[in-house]
Amino acid sequence: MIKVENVWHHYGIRPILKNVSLQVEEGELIALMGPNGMGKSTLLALIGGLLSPLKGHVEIDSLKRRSSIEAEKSIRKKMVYLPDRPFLPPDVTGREYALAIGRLYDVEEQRLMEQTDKLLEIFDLDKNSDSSISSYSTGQQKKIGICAALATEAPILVLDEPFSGGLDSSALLALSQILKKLAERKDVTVVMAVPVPELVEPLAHKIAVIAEGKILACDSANGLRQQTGCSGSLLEVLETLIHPKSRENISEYLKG
Amino acid sequence: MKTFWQTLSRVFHKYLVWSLIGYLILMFILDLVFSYAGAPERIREVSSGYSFVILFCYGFSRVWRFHPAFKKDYITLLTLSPWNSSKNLPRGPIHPFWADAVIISAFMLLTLLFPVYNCWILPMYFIIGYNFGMLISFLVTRQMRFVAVYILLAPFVVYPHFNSTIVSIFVLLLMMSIGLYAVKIYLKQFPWNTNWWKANQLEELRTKAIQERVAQWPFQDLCDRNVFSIGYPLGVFIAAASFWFMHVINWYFYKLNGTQPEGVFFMMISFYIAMFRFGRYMLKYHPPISFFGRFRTGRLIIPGYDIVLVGPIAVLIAGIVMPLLLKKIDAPHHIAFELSTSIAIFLCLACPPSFEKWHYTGKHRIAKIPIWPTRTMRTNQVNRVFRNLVK
Repeated sequence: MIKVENVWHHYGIRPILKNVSLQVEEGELIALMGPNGMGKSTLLALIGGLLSPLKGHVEIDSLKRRSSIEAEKSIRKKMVYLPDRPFLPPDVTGREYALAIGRLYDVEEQRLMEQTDKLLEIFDLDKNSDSSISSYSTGQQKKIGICAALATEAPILVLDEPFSGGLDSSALLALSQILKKLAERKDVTVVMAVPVPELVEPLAHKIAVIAEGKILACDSANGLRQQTGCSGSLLEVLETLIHPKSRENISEYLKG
Repeated sequence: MKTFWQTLSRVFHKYLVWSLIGYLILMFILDLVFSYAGAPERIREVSSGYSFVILFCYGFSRVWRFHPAFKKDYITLLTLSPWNSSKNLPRGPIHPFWADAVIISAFMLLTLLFPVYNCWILPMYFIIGYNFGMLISFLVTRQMRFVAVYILLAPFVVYPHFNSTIVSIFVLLLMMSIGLYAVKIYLKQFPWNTNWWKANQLEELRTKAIQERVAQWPFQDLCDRNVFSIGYPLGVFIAAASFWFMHVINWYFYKLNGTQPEGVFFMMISFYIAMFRFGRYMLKYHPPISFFGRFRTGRLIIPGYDIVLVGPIAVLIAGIVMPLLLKKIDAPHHIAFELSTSIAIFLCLACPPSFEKWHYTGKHRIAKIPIWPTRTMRTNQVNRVFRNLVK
């Protein structure tokens, strides 16, 4: 279980997260949505352990992040955080990279090799897997990052914008199916930032909407519909939540 | 006779042959040059220096080549074979034996061609190299008590007698005897407890991924891994050993030149130590809020992060401010500088938070600092390209 309690975070003088609280149950898949620059990636980095909150705290399975060496080690064993753009060593092959990351998480060697092979094939990287990462396109670099994170088989996945960054349609489909399966299994907890509502609705148990550094709502897609009284698409629900006046503004603009 | 040459060739490595050939050619050329320049006696200095280097390297190589701790394939061989410590080592003994005496004597005879100062002390340099090799082997096999004994004893080679060759040789032989005794004891503990010794393949691969910098930000920083941290006992030992060495070096310079090294030299050491601590703790672990951000938000001090500054500041106070104050009250040189520098070293190594605690619990943000993968990885890449071309 992931518990974010009263977290504040600043960049310079700009408060990016203001007293944010969030709870993700074990086996849940939660998608963070909201406008750009409103703190989705910051919240994920705080959960992932890359950042430390200025106020408040993050708990993983009842262990407070950065409270003690033992607690932190225990958390790190079961959580993998994939940022939007991880550092990919250019001279290393995709396969070597994915295996190296898997090894950091003590995945049994034989299983790691098999899983990596499968993932490389799923993401259509099998032909390039033994070429250096520097020869990969932007989309392929995104794919190898995802493969590496999945190869760890960590029970908690924190993924920052896994669907963006030039993924082709087959990779989008593959990733959404993998995440859907993980969500169904109920033993893997996933928190991810996704900008596209269409991808989220069939996957996520809950959607947390962040704007202006605050969580406006956190519920299932239908729950959000009920909350907003909007029965349209998830995009419309989000718009109603984040920019309640945007529809009127658009109509006025079109009137001329 | 055949056995004699076989045994001799075992210790007589090809590098030694090349260095001897190099020695002869260089000395021959220099002899001509110095004779032409009208300073034939200069050859003695060069010949002495070169001979010392050759014998030091030979002594070191005797341990390096014959001690199982340095060769992975040798370890595997011993582990898989029915060898035990009561049997001889299959690739030859670690301890010096008659073949070494033959080689050293032959080299001493060779110096008749190009004479050296004090030909009879040449074996001393072999022993120095040998003891140095032993010290490294203790470190590799984690025989820390023998490391401590060696570090404690080493300065007695010159201290406090300064110029007594007999005492120097006695101390060196004593160290060598302790080393051989140590080998006898810890060969019984084979296989030793070192990282690569345990054949824990997974741990080795994990470390390799980090060492070769394949796994980097953020995975390397956010996974559970061993972070090297020096505790109080080791910190005290290193600081005490530093004090001991600084004291002897200081004393040696005084005996040699009649003056002691300038105090500023010690203060520079402390400054670099503080910078080292600062860099190690802060290069990758940045503050949660920028420097100007602190002023803008009125959060001048962030306790969870600023604790990291205590170490370097304490080092600077102990290593720079304290000696200046001590000098003002006419404290002796060794108290003012050697002791304060040792305290600075101790603070650098052991001042809280430990690096492990900082890595796991510090209120920092882990910065993305890409480092190019190591040469091994690049070599592998080049090899792959060549293999593909050949295919």
